[in-house]
Amino acid sequence: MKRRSFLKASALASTPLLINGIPVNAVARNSFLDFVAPDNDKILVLIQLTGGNDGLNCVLPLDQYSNLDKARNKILIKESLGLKLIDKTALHPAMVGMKSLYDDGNLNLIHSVGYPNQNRSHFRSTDIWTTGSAADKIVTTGWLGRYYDNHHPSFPSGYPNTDNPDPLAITVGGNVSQTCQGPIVNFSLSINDPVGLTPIPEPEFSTAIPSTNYGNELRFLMTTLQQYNDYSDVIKNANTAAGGTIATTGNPLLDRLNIVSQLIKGGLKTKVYVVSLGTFDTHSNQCDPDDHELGNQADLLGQLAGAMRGFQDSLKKAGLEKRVIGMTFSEFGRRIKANDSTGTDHGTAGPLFLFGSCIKGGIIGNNPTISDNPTNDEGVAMQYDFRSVYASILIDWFQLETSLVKEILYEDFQKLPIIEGCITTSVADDSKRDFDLNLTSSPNPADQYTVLSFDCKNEFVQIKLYDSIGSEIKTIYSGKVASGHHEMRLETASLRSGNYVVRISSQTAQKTKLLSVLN
Amino acid sequence: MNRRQLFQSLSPTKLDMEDRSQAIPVGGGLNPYTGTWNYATAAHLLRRAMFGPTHEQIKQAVSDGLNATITKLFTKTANPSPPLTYANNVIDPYSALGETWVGKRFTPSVQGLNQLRDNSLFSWALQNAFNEGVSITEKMMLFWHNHFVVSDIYLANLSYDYLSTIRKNVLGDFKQMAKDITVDGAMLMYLNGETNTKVAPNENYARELMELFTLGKGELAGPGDYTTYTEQDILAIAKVLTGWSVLQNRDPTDGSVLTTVKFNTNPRNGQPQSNHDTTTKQLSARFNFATIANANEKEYENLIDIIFQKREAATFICRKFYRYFVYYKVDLAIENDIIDGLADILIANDFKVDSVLRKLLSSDHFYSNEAYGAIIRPPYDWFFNTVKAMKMAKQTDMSLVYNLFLSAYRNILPQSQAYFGLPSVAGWPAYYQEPAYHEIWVNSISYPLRYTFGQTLINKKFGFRINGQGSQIYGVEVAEYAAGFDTPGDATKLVADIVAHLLPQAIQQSQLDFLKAKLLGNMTEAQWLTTWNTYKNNPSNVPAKTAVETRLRPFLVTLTSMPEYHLS
Repeated sequence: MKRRSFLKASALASTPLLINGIPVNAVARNSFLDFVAPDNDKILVLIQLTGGNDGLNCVLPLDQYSNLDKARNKILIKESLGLKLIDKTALHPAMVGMKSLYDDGNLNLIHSVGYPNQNRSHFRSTDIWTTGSAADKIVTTGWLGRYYDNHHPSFPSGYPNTDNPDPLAITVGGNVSQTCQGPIVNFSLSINDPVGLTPIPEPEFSTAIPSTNYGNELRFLMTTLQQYNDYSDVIKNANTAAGGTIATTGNPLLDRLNIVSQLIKGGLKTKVYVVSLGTFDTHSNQCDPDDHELGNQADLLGQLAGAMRGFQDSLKKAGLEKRVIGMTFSEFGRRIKANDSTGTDHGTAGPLFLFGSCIKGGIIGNNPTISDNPTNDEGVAMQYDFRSVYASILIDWFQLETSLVKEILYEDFQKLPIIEGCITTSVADDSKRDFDLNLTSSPNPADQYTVLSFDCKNEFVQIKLYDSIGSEIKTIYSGKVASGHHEMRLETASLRSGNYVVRISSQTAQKTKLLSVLN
Repeated sequence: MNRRQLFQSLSPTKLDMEDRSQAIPVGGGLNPYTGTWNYATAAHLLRRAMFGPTHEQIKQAVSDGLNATITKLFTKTANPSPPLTYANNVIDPYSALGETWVGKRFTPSVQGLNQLRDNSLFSWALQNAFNEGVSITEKMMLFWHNHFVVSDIYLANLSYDYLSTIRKNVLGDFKQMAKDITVDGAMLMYLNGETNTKVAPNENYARELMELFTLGKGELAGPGDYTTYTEQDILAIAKVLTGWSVLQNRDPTDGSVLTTVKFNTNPRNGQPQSNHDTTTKQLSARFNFATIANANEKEYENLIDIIFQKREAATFICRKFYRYFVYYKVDLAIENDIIDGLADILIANDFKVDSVLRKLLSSDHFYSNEAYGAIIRPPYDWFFNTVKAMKMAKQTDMSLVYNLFLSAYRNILPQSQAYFGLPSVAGWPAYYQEPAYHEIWVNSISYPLRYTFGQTLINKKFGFRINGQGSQIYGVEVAEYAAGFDTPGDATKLVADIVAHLLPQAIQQSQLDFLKAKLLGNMTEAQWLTTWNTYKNNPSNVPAKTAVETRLRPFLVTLTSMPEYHLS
């Protein structure tokens, strides 16, 4: 038997490959049961902003400027230069392309996205974002990797095939993305340049792979070689079908996104593309000391906005804009206070952007509240859990059953209204509320106690207290409450003086409140 | 559990507890290996401990025995002579062609000068590995570069000084290296220590010092508490490290600079400036509430001494040694029986690292059958295993050598490994990113790159242009390489011997046959013998040499494109 046909056969049901006596194709599961709409052809493009983007200079909370000016006057963008989205909120002046997307109703800004117990390590926090796990849980599979694992449990064996001729996910530039890491393999294929893909002659493969680590790595390498050969044709063909050459633009992110749009135009059924931009780790020289609107972060944000606009235009021109949405993410925001190096250190939550014709344009959440005395280590308090965004995409864009999404993300998360107008299948929008939680705290600042008040319908709520660096101090309340107005007393006498954040969340809403304790 | 069995696990929550690979069996642990010493064991040691061992070096190690080979690996080698100005397309006012630029004033106004010096340094770093004999030194240089990461600072003089800082203790005192690197100019630039002042501390270095350089980050044990240290410690340690700067000593006549590391000095004018925080710094319960009193420019040394009192300073680095030299998988048994033992040795030897490395590389565990070929070769390992093991000729022309290895540097770079081109302060993800670890080196971008670059080297078509000299063609000397084996005229034996040299484990008969067919082409074995003997009797006869090269090349291209070749 030719070595190649051996490997192919081993993946198909006709000749089950036995490893330790267990056939590798023994997986029988109709994963389409989990889909509301099995023919969903929607595509997600992830833009990873590596290093931790400074959200407060990216999205300017104009109503907080007097306190911000005290905390970070060495880097603060001039209020008048901001590109206003609404009265109180503006974008960094370099983000012209995204401002125009917003004006077109194709950009959604979610304020202060993060997670409880913020980890300020780049690496751990990136893991948390890419795995979609809680900060106190070590998970090694990516959130999209689990999605893929559910639908393609035998991958890579037998792939590509008639039903799945194309790569499941593609990373453009660099390593395969952690977001697509499955329990066994990574579901993404990395490419740099679709034009230069030439198949490699396959040598005589080993047919007696030992069940040792050596054998495992050998199999991984064999698979990588085969997948490269198989998919390089597919990608090259798609690229040719879409016109072949891709001109470079001088904007590295746009160059990568142009490859993405080219492959989508060429007909690839790949559902996820991942690109990255960085580094946003601006401990120093975040901006020009004289012209704060210029400098490293400005250059990166300019590239981001220009690439987003260019990508959207190119999709629109090809009539594909209703199949694609994009999302940015970054491992954390940065500190409220600037350091002495015209920069900022690692912080907590930060803004997240979604774009596309199917994105409900607008702003979710409120400007972060900046106190007049932020501590050196204080970051922006979280308003939205990043897994809420993931859940919303999985449910409203990829049309997965809520129960499966809970399996993928381990918990239920509030769904956010981010998708609008493109999904024909009816997916219940349970995010609509006719009232706010109206969280208040009084007295504030507090010494001995404060009274928290909120309104809710008949639902489960959780109220938690976080310190200024985003660490969870305690759960104030967790349980079902009746519809109406509620008040709850929080003892503060035992808390150290400082800034805290109270966050209330239910299935469909959440609110945060800054609380100062002076005692 | 077998990898493929995992496919059947359907519950996502279960998946997180599963392992995708097994740890290497502990075996006799750190006890000295006393089993058979042969070609396979010697090759295993040299492949892991150095770059690209030749067939002759492995044979020598077999006859020397394990202990003598370990001694040879750890024998201190002479420091390489400093990098040179290798081209004059950019004129360096302070270093003529053929002179070193190290320690010489740098003239920023000369366009392209820093690039020239950087290129010289990158090429030099690869030359050092290429020219090295049986020694662990260059592999440890790369280890430390991946540990105390400095990347993309574009200041060649500081980058060279940084490598010297590492080299000073490359097989020696880790604690002293941690001290030296804390006030190293390149590191001060890379992690912003040079702008860390009492007015507004920049905590970048303080955080990475704990998380990546010494203790490692433990589990989240409470708000801002990572078990090994806390957020409070980071703030306190940032204050300890205030006051250092990199002074650009500028010559007003020609604008040239000479950079020096200074304490409590204004970096712009060199005047004294109290940037250091003189308060007493309070550490957390994780350091038994230790306090660090002001000690000005000596204070960082006291800090490092306090950090190194913690056992994690030893266990953390030993785990990294293990992942670098043995295997990435560290389970509880490895932790208890190997890492813990190594940490004891490291502490008992005052953090002299050669003590633990000798122990590890001569341990029973290291020679477990399961260890052979279980790691994926990093790009540099792959490259040197091609050009050193298969004998690319050493060139003598200085400028040519620099260009050759600069070109190699640029050719390997897209495979994601480059001196001073690390993706982040955590180093190359292949050494830390769960769960894929070393698999990250190989993907659908890098596999074809390895294939085409390998093919180019073996076919001797590695070309590059030198200004004014036209293009030059280099590569592996396949005929000389084959001549190093016992009976190269015996096609079956030659294939088996080369496979034993280049691949980490035995392969199947069908694969050997396939490779032999590639060697023979349309020849019979008898014809190969005749062809070989013709060459052997007259090695300088060009047609005779070409005849053997014409057969050896497709064979070696095929062998090096096998997945097995990427394993070590």
